[in-house]
Order: sequence, then C-alpha cells, then structure tokens
Amino acid sequence: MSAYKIIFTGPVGAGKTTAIESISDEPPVRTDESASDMAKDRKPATTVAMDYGVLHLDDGERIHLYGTPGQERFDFMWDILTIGGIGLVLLLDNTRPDPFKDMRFFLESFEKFIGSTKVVIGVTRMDLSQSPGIEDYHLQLNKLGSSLNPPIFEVDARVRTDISLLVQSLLFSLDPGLKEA
Amino acid sequence: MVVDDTEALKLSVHGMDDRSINTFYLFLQELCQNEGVLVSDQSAQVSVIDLDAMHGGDIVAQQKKVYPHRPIIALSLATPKEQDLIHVRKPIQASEMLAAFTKVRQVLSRNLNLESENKSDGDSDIDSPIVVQRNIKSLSQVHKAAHTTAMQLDEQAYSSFVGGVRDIDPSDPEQVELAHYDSQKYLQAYVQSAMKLAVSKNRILRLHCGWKPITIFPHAREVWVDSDDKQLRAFCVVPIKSVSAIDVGGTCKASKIRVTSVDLSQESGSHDPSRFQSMDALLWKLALWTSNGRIPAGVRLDQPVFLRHWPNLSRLVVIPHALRIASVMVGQPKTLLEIANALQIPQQYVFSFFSAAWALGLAGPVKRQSDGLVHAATAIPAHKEQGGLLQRIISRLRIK
Repeated sequence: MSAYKIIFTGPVGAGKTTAIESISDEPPVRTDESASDMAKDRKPATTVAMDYGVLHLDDGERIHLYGTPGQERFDFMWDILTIGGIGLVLLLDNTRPDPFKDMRFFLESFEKFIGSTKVVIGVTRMDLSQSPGIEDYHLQLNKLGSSLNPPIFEVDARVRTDISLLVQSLLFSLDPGLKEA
Repeated sequence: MVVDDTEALKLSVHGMDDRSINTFYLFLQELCQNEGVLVSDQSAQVSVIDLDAMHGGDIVAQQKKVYPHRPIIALSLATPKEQDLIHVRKPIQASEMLAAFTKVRQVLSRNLNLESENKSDGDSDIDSPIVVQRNIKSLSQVHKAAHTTAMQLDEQAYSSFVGGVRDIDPSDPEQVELAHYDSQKYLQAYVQSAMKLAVSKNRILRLHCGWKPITIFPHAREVWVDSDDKQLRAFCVVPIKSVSAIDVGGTCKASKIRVTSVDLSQESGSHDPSRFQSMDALLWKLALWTSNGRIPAGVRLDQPVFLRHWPNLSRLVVIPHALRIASVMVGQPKTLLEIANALQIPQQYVFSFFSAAWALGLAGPVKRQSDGLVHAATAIPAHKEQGGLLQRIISRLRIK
C-alpha cells in the first residue's frame, strides 16, 4: 500500500475538510478519538479530529489526503502526519482576525517538512473578506525575509477545480519537468 | 445631494469572530433584504462594531481615528455612553437594523453635502470628478461574477482562445522583430493606464476608447464592460488608432480616447452583475490576446527575465504549461528561449505567459552584470522515481 500523502493544514475553519472532499475519490472520513482517561475526573475530555481522503491513481495506487487537526494543541500530531508526505497545502481563512499570523505560525510549524518538500497556500473566503489581498500575502512573506516564494491562490474550498489547481501547482513546484496530462 | 437609498450600504464589521460574521451576513441577506452588504474596511461607508467584544471600545476609538467622518453602528446589550454612535440593541432585530441604516444614510447625505461645498477640482485629466457610489444588487451576486474559477486551456483551446504563432529562429532578425509587439498601440495599454489612474485617484472611472466603455471600480479592484470575451478579443487585437467604424457588436465610432469620472446616480439602469470581472483577470486576458504568443517590445530574447511571484492563477485564464513556466520562472532568472528549451514546449506559451505576467507588473527583464551569469539551460528531466508518481497524480487531478 502506498505511503504517499498530501498534507492539508491550516487554522480551524479554513476549509481543510471541504478541500479534501472536493478532490477525494471517496467521501472523506473524519476520525474522532476521545481521551482514554475519561474516568479520571482530573483529566478533561479531549477530542481529536482528523480528515482523510484518497486519490485513486490509474494503476491502483492510492494517494492519501490528510487534513491536520487545526487546533494548535494537537501540533504533536503534525510531525507524525507528515512522514511520507509529498508536500503541504496550507489553507488560510481570509475572514480570520489575523491571517498573516496564521500563515507565519503554520509555515514555522512545518518548516522542516517544507524544507524537504514544498508548500502552496490557498486563501479561502475571499468572497466574504477581500482584504488582505493575495499581493498582501506575498508582501508579508517578503517582509518576514522568507526564502519561500510559493504559489498563493485565492480558492473556494468547495470548488474542485480550485483545489485541483492548487495541488497541481504543488506538484509542478516539486518538479517542473512533469508533463501536463 | 442625497445618498441613493436604493443602493445597498457598504459595511465593514469589527469585533466579531468568523461565525458571527457569517451569521451577520445571512442576517443582512435574508432579513434585511440586502440593504447592507459586507465589504473590506477600506471600501466601507459605515463600520459595524460589536461593542461587547473584548476591546470593543478600543475598536471604536481606532475606527474614529482612521475614518473620522464614517458613521459607526454599535451593537451592544447596554446603551453606549458615546452619543455619536448609532446604537442597535442586542438581540438584534431586523427592524432596528434597518432603522439604523436610515440614520446612516442621513449622516452620509449630510457628509456628502458638506464635501461638495468644500470640494475644489484640481484634476485636468478627468472630466467632472465626483466621488460616487457603486450600484450593485448584492455583494454575493457581484463576487459570483468576479471570482470565477480559472479557465484552464489545453493546447487546442488556447489556439481558439488566443490564436498562435510558430517558434521563431532567434538568429533571424526579421523573425525576432515579428516576435515583438508594442502594447502602447493597443487597448491593453489604455486599460492599464486607466486602471492605474483609477487606483491612484481612488475614483470610479470610465475609459472611452472608440468602442464600448470600460468602467473601473478601484475600491473592489473590478471592471465592468458590456461585452463578452469574443467581442473584447476582436477589439483588443486592432491597433487602437486604426479604429474608425468597426462594428464589433456595439455602437462604435472614432473618438478621442478619454477617461471620465462616473456618477452612477445619473445613469439609468444598473450594471449586469455577470459583466463584472476582476481588474487582474481582464488585464491578463487583454495581454494574452494582444500578445498572441509574442513578447512586449523592449524585451530582448537574450535577456534573462524574472517572475516576482506566482500569479493568482486560480482566478486567471490558465494557458498550457502555465504552472510549469511559473515554477521555472520564479527560480533563477533565465531567458525566455531558455525556459522554452528547458521545458521543451513551444515558445509562444512562454512568451504569452511572460506578456500577461508583465502586464500585471509581476515579470520583467533583469539586467545582468555579465554575459557569463546565464548558462544555457538544459532540459529539465522529471525525477524518475517520484516523477512517475507525481505524473500520475497530475493525470488524475486533470480528469474532469
């Protein structure tokens, strides 16, 4: 079984589940696990949610699509999830109070993984909030002194062609030698 | 002067989390009959602030500082101390919100009257400069029109959409000359200038160029033109000064090219929302059509070029090999011919992409310090092991 995966990350509500659903060949699975120490009154309940989808390739191989839990307290899972990852799709919600802060946080959290692969950024909900614009995200990366110059696209997570284009840009960033099918 | 009460008020919201914003958006749409629409802070006529939010008072102070004349609607459980806020008590009722909107319109009308009394016109290059309101039915309608997903063209579709030229022999000066075009002679340049002017003046402007006028809304970074792509393309490939009485589906006559200010309140009818598009999307298309596989005059074929960053391709016409070209071009500077050779693709796609990116201000030639800096690019081989897998993923994603 293929161990290859594409990781979707971003803050809560950015559209990770929806984006995976848009391109997955199977309805995405949402996995929930509760803390096992529920019996102990001292430990509060904890729920972990992770999204999973799959792409079926023509030779029967499967590419796993993983959505990371958006809550920061589950960031210990992110390293585990990225093992075998081809690249990172970072979705940012443009209606959040500080999307630049979100971008900085996730790029730093996945810095090692991005360094060995690539990242692309999809900005969602720009129909509800036009500011900041896509150019502003690029300027912000420049200001941070980041050496990254990734594709940053406005996307609607519900629209397959948007997410498909974003993932394609990830693959071509990894290897421009790929042919267009 | 009165604010047209048939137009939706433009609201910016503050102190709300995203769920509240969504709820408020639905509230405006369903219960307030779209009397108010949500826009960015910069474009808003009125600020709506949840006073009960943490730092609600600070948000009010900040808004007053940045926009001293803008009315503020304050949402809160208790009556605010400040007298100059338009208060809507929570839980919010539609009738009270609509009453607040009426008060806002009165304030805005007063402000407009004061402005017109004090205003002096120093602009000699624009007729009748008046700040106007945009006539839209609802934000969702407009943005459905403006924010359409990219059209991804295969090679056949590109040929129908743009046209096409053969590869040139760079050692043949005649062919090299034919591979260039002067954008200043075409609609593209006039649209570019008018857009720059609209943005710098922060006014809605209309470009009259002997064909259908193009209205530019700089606040929303959108344009409106009563034309489909076929008609637009037909017009933009003709050198503009040759336009006399070409019938491209609309009334057209030779006329001086000019830019005028727009007062929508003086115009009959509203703008068909489906004819709005983003400024970038229009300019990108104009550049693709005008270029027709050529490059702008002044860019040498032996000069390396840069791409500042990836264009927002999800909202632009995606020509064949655009993703590959962008991926190579954002890296080390290379000449356009080197990129075409390295990717083993027809030159016209690289030239078209570069011309469109150049029109958006994203690309240009670099000055190289010595001729030794740039080495002939060899073909970029796909990494065999992962390349096979990535290739198959691409193929899967491209199945519609």
